[in-house]
Amino acid sequence: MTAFTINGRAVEVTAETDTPLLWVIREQLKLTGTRFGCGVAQCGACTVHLDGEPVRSCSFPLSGVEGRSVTTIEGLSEDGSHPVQRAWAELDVPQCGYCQSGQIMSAAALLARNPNPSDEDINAAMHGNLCRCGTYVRIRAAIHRASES
Amino acid sequence: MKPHHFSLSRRSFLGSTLAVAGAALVVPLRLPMAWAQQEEGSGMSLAFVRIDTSGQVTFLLPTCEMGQGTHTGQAQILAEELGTDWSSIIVDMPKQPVAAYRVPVMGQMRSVGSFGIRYWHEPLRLAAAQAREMLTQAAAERLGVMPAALHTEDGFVIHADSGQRIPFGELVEDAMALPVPEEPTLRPDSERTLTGRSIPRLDTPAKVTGKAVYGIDVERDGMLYGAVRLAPVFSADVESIDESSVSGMPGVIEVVRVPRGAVVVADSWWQARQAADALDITFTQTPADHLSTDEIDRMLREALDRPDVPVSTLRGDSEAALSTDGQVVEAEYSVPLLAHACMEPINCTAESTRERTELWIGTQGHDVLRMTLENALQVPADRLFINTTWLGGGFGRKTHGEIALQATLASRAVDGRPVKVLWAREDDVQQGQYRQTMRCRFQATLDEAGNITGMRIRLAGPQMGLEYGFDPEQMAQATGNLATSIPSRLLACRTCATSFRTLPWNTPWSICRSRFAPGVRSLIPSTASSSKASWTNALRQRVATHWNFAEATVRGRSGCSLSLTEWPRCHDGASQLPRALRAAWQWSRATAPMWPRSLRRRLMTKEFTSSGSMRPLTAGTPSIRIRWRRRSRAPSSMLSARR
Repeated sequence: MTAFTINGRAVEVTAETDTPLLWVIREQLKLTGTRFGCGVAQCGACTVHLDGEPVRSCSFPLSGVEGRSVTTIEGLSEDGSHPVQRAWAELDVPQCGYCQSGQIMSAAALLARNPNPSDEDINAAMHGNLCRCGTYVRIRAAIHRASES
Repeated sequence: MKPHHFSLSRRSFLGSTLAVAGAALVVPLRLPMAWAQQEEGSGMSLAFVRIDTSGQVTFLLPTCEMGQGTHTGQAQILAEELGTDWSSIIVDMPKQPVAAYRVPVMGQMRSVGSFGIRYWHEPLRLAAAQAREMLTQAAAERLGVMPAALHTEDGFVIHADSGQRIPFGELVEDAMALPVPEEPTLRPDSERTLTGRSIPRLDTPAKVTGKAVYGIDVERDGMLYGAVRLAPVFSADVESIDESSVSGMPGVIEVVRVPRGAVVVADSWWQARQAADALDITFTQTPADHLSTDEIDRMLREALDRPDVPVSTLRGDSEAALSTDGQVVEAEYSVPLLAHACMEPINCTAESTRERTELWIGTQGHDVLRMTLENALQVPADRLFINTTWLGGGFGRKTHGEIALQATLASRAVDGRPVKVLWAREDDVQQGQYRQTMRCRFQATLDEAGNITGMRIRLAGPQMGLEYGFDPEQMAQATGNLATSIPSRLLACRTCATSFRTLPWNTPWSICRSRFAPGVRSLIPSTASSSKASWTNALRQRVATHWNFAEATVRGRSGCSLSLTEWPRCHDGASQLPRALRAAWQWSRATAPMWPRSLRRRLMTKEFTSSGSMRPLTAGTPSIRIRWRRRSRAPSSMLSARR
C-alpha cells in the first residue's frame, strides 16, 4: 500500500512498489491525460509534478511518491484556466496533441520557478519534451504568452 | 453495450453524451444508389450529416484526426453548407467503413495521402447541401412559401420576409419523407463566413486539459491489458513457446499466440510487459537474421555501380547530352531506414466474440482493419464495429491491421473481455513498417552558361511491397519528373531486394517529394528557378520536347474532365493506358499548383477514370489542354498552355 496525494486528493494504491508511477496514474487512478511515449524518460510525454518539480512518471517508481504530492495535467486547473493552458489554447499549439500534457507540465514548472524565461531558458527547460508534429515554435511562443499573464 | 463517442463540441466537454435515439434525418450520399441501399440495409446513420429531432447536428466524418486538423476543416465545410450553429455540433466518425466513406481512387476508407480536405471537400459539401435543401423544402411546405424565400442559419430555416424561424429538429421528420435532391445548389462563395479562414481548432481544448482520448486512453469495464513479444525479423515466426515460464508472474492471466509472436494478457500493462519480457519464446531462423545496416548499404552501393542496369526512363537525346563536353557535376545522396515513431505507440482495444467484434483504435485504415479481421478470423464486415479515437500521430504507420488482430485474438482468448494491447516503444520501432532506405546518384552535364544539358539519375533501393503495386519504373519516373527544367536526361533505375518491409508512405511520390527533392534541388540550384513562370515554362518545354505524345481524356466523377495531349509513353514504347493514367494522376497532382484555383480544386478532388485512347501525335504540335466541364453544365472554361 502506497499513500500519496494526487491533484489534492489523498489516495492509497496497491501495486508492486517498483511499478512506474505512470501506470498507477493511468490504470488505477484513471487519469489518462498523462501519456506513455517511450518508457525510458526520453520523450517527456509522461511528465507530472512531484512536489512541484517535473518528473518523468514512466521511470519513477511508485515507492518514490510515498507521502508526497503529485500533480497531473488534470490537476493543473479544473477547467483549463491555468495561464499555460490558456496560452496553449490561444495559440492553438497542439496538433496531434499527444505530447502536449507533458509539454504543458514542463512549461508550468518552468514558469513557476522562472516567471520570465528567455528563449534560452525555455529551450533548456523544454528540450526533454519531444513533439513529433514539430510544434516547438508555438510552444515557445505560448510560454512567452503565459509569462505575460 | 454503451457506445463510445468522441465528441468535440463544447457541449460534450460539459459531459453530455450523444443521444441517438428517435427519428433523425440521415442524408445518404448523392452518388451511387448502391451506397444508400447499403446504409439502409445496415440500419445505421452513415453519411456525414445526422440531425436528430432535438436539432442536434452530428457530423460523421470520413477521415481520422491525427493532428492535421481534418475534423475541424471538414466540420467547417459541413456546417457552412448546412447553415448550422458551429458551437453546438458534434463530430464523430462512422463505426463501419461503408462505401460512402471510401475514397474511390483507393476503394477504401483510409486517412492517408493528404486527402482529408482535398478529396472530401466536395462530397461533404454536397451532402450538407442536400440536407439543407430537404429541410428548406419541408419548411416551405409548412409555411406555404417558395423554398427560394427561405435560408438556413444557426440551425434554423428562416423566412426573412415574415421573420419566422423553424429549428431544424422540428423539420427533420417531414424532411425525411422528401426525396434526396440529386443536384443540390451549393452556397455561393459570397455567403461564406465559416470556411476560407483560420478558426480555432475544435480539438484544442481537450488537448490542453488532458481530456483528449487517444486509443491508449480507452477505458472499458473489466478491461485487461496486453503486451507483445514479436519476432525480431519480419519473415520469422514462433518456433517454440513455453507459457508456463510466466504463469506464476503477478497479474498474468493468459499467453495468447498471435502471428509472429505472442500477447501476454495481465491485470495491468506493466505486469503484462514484465511477463512478455520474461516469456520463454524462440523464433525460426531466416536468411535475414544477420542482415545489417552496413550490409544493406553495401548492396545499394553495388547496385548503383552496376553497368548492366536497364534504362528505365529515357527522355531526349540524353546519351549525347551526357557526353564529357562541358562540366560534369555528380552528387550522391542516401536516406536511411526510418521508423515512423508516432508519439503514441501502436495500440488497440478489442472486445471480440464469434458473434461480434468491437475495436477502439486510432486508425488510418478502417478498411484495412476490416480486411485483416475478415482474412484472419472470418469476421463478417457487418459484425465489426470500429470506434475511432484521435491518433497520437499517424504518418501512415497506423494504416495497418496487425495490432487489431492481436487485440482481437487476445480478447477471444479471455472469453471476450476487453483487452487493450499496447506496444512498448521498443516494439514500435522494431516492428516498424519502415520508410525506405535508398541511394541515389545524380550526374549532370552543364554547358558554358551553366545550363543543364543532360542528366542521369540512378536509384537503388529495396523492392517495395508488391501489395501496394508500385514498381521500380514508377519510382524512377517519379524521381525523374522532379527535374522539370532539365532539357534532356537519361534516367536509370536499379533495385535490389532485401527482406524488410516498407510502407505505402514509400510511394514513388513520397520518395520524390521528400526523399530526393532536396537532392535534386541542391544539385541544380542555379538553373531551376522555383518561380511559377519558370515552372510553367519548364512544363511547356518538357511537354514540347521530351515526352512522347498521345491523347487521352481523364474524366472526373462529377463532370470535370482533364483532356491531355501529353501522356508519357513507357520506355518500351507500348501504349499502356493504365500506367499512363496513373502517371496522369501523379502529373495532375504535381503540376496543380500552377493551375487556376477553381480548376485545381476540382481536379484534385476527383478520381480519374479513362475514356480516351493513346495515340501518337504529330511532332511539333504539343499542347496541354485542360477542359473543365462544370457539374451544372455551364459553359466550359479552358486553360490552354499552348506553345
